[in-house]
Amino acid sequence: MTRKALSAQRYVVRLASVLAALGFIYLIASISLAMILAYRPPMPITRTPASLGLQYRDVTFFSRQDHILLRGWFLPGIRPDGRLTAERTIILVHGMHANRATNLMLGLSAALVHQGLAVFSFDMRGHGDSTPAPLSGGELEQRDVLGAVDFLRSGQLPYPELGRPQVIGGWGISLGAVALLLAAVQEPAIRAIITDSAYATMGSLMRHAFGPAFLFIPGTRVVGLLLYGIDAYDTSPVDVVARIAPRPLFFIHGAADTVVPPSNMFQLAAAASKGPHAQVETWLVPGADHIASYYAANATYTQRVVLFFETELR
Amino acid sequence: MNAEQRIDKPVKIETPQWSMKNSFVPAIGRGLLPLIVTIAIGAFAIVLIMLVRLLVDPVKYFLLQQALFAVIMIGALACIIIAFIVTTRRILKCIKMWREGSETAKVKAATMTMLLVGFVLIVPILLTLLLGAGV
Repeated sequence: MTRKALSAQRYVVRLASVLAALGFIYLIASISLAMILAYRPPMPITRTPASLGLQYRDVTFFSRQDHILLRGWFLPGIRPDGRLTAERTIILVHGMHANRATNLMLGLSAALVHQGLAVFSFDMRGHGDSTPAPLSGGELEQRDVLGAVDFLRSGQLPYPELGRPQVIGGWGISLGAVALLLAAVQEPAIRAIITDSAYATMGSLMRHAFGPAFLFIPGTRVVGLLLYGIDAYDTSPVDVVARIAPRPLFFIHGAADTVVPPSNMFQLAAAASKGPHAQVETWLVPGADHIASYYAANATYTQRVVLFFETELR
Repeated sequence: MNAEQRIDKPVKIETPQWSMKNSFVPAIGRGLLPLIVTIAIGAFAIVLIMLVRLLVDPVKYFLLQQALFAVIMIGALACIIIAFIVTTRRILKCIKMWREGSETAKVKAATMTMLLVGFVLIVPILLTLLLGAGV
């Protein structure tokens, strides 16, 4: 064998080794990403509505279809005369890796309760005190929202003396917003919906979030399907949101959102407007980053949310 | 004709034109060994994962299921990497031996098969680059 041929052969062996190493790195990264994205230890519940002087009772209920145990709080609304009410109840749905006890959730709960709107906030699967479960980008989480609706309609209410809610509304943020939208498509009992920082498709969000690491998306999807039977990439509220009409929809989004770009809100609003007799409202909050509109607009935010439910849930 | 006569008769052994010494088929087989081992261990890991999914109810025991997945995945990856390195080193030894024996066809076949195995392992990356992230 000539020296030239020997050298070429060595290069080929090295190239083969590099390719194999790349393949293994890809495999390891895909498995790690899929497992990390699917589950992260939940943030503990460190506060209760009592810290804001609100009355509440603990609630446990099950998700629709797969019967996962979920935990939440029911906060009765306070009428101007001080009497409690559950007539109009708003389901609040938190975002990814958050829970029902964040400042935003409790602050908004307080604002709604003081306007005579009852609040039902809960931890989605894999969050807070609810049962550990993999994340699915809203595809499975919508069952939790549907479970909340079932509970309000037929569960053992913590304030039986107040009777069952007459009308149900929903507010959700980020992942919670998507879960709420998907649930509202199936459940006409959710009569008015507010979403904050919702994404139009999980696919576009993943591509945006992964950036140059988008190469790992297919591997992550395959591993996710293999391990959990979940392909969050296909979650696409923009394809179904038109079916919510004629129920009113209010989309809120931070203008400076770097996680879910504001274009997502416009896509969702445009799609929702295609439904028959659609009532779609949008609000782009100046200077607000992802899930920060509440803090950026503060009093205006709560006023607009309360006004929307006051008007639409009469 | 007695037995001795039969034994003494010279037997002509015909050497095939396509000699085993220069045959590249065994070299290809050896070259493919790392891929075969990888696929075998991977398939075994998938079977284990399916068993875990079947036997462990995720609604009640998701954390246990997650832990088992982690053990299976780490174990399978470690086995695959070790097996891959061991089989590759053996091929390289064979290639060296064939080179010293001037068995050029075998050396070429084994080397090219190794390259092919490398390309097979990066197929997902190539597909993503060609077809986009939504593959």
